[in-house]
Amino acid sequence: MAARTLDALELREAELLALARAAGARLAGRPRPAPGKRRRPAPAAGGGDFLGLREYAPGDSLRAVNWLASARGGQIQTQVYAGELASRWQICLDGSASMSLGEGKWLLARQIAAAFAYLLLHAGNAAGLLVYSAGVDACCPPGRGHSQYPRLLALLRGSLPRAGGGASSLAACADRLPAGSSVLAVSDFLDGGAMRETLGRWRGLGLNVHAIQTLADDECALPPGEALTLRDIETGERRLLEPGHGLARPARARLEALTGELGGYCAKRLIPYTRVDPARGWKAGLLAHLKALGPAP
Amino acid sequence: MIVWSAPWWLLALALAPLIWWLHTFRRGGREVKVSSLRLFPPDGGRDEAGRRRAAADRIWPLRAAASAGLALALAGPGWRGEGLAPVQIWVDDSLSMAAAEAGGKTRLALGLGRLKTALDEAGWPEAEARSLADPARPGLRLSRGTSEAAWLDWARVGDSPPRPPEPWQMAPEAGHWLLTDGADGKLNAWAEQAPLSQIVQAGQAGENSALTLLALRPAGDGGWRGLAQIDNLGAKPATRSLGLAGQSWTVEVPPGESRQVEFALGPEAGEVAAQLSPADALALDDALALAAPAKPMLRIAGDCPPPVLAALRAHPRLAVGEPAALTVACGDAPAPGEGPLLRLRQSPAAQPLKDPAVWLEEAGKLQRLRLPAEWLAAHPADGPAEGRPLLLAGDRALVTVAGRRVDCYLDLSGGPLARQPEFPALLAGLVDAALGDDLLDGTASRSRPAEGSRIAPRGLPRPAPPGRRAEPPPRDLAPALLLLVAAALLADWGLRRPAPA
Repeated sequence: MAARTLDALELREAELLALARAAGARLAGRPRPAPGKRRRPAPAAGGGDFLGLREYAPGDSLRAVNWLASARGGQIQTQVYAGELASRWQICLDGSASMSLGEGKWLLARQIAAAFAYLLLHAGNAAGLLVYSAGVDACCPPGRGHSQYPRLLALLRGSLPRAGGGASSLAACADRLPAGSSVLAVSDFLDGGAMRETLGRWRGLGLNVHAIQTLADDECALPPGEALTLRDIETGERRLLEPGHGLARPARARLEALTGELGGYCAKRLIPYTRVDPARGWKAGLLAHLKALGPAP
Repeated sequence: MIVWSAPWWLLALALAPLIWWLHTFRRGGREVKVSSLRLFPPDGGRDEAGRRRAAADRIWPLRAAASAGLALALAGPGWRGEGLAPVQIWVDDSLSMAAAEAGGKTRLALGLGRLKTALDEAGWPEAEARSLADPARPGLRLSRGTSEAAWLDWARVGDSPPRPPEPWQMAPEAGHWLLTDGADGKLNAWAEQAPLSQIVQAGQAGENSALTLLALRPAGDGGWRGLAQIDNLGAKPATRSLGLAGQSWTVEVPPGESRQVEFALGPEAGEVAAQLSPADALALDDALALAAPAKPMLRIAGDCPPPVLAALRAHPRLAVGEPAALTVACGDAPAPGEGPLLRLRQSPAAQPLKDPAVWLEEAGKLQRLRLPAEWLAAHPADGPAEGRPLLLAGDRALVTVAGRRVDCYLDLSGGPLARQPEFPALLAGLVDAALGDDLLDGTASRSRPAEGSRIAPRGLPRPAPPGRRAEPPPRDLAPALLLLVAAALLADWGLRRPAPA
């Protein structure tokens, strides 16, 4: 398993380029408005080259609205400048012990992180990588251009999740996130809700937050019919199960429920969220995530 | 019903709840790591804090049953059926039990009736009569249909005294009864020690006199002198008539004493039978019979000197004829290879003795026969004398004996010895030495112990309280329980054996 992790992440550049073209300008770094009525810093009007008009999105500054184009087109149009599109991204990859369980979960997570980083860099963004568990275990500062990708890839290839213990503390990455930056959190989000709350908090601070949940196909698999002792790989907590417990099905249902709760939470806070599993694959998962961002401007 | 030989072990049954409790602290089997326990709802098991106990391992009833079975087996369970324990009836078949009671029945016959009555009261357990005179003799199963004839055929009274078993030899799982008349003091003493649950007493008569001795001794004329003894074992004087060889005597015997009657018989006495009359309570001890010893036949071989022939023919207890019990061989006459032999050496050169003749101790009563040297002359021996010397003159053996072979080197053909009255006594003594008998003075007798004829009942010990029913031995249930325990342990091992991969 360790040898496969350190080998190539099975990402072909041709696939990445195709994905980048499909992504278009979706990842151009447009800060999306935070929900609610809180004051937020207005983007510098006219900062950068004028790139074009796009449909008004809730939260856009009224100063950026081109009223003349809106009247002409019958839809409210907002002006887009180059300064908005280029932004800083941090990819926060969950390296806690729970990511080591499940067939292909860690590989999938790294594939997602690597591919997303490629798309970001291709779109002219600065992309960095943080691998976290209870704290930040590894870091690659944001950078731009083609030279940044190999650095990110090297970090991903050499990363291994914790074997046990620790925690999944997305909040540990907060110090590395400047105001106005964008974040992609890649995790299984099976920590009981703390990471979810961090996502919401960051969104409330005006960060552009994306969440991709990677789960294994056998996340809830249990040997049938025998007495077992379940041990939480992060907390170490144990639970005895009677022979014939029949908990695999309820566990899957509970997983679906937790996933649904997370999806609903993110939807409510306008956090793009996608669930990916090895059966779906990284490409399909990323495509689904990009499509969920809406049409490319 | 179930009986327990070691009931304290039943306390171990309290281990069953303990076993259940111990099985709640079982390990939960294989450990499986999961991403988050939140995915698995609680099922009543124990969390890390241990505040709720897990359900006991389902194997606990099997192990509790095994431990309970072992405790029950150790408690010594036995199943006691509703039947009665078998009874062994020890029968006093000594002489006194043949005494006739009022109505003419013997004590043994009366005893059968009383035994049946007692067995009826006891519910007729399996009963077997055993002989005290011969405990090894096969017993008799008693039932309601046992006839008196069969009973008396089995219970044969004899002169043998009772030989009761030691108390530790008596089977503990059976009841033991005694049928007796109480006349035997030693048997009564045994009854005090033995584990008897019932004593059936038969007989009340106490008066009895018995013919206890009949003896014959050769008289000098070839006939016999006899002696008969009568003992009175009763408490009252007894007057009995003794009949013997056509003669009769009336004898009065005081209680507890004996009287003797002397009589004479001719040479042809043959079988001598003595009988007391009239018959009293115990008739079996009123008669004694004795055969007068017959004269041994004598074979004379060789040319014996006339004095020898005359002395032998004059011997009142010898007769010449066949089949010979003794051979007297004179000189070198051939003699049979076996059997008593008196060889009288002869030679032409008998020489007078210079040394006095001395009888050795082994010669017995011949030591009283004085043989002065001037009477004696001896024939030379062909070689070293065979046998042990009986008569020596100096270092010369004159009479030797080897087994039943007597060699006499004295000159008996004539001379002074043959004219002495000691001569026939010498020959008679040599004949006795060869025969190993005392023909002229031996006694024949027949007797019985007087105590065996005592029929008056004595005090019997009190047995176990009447009406106590002997209980049959319980059937041991422990082996069956141990088999179940073994099966339970086997099942436990089978259930715990890991499934093949």
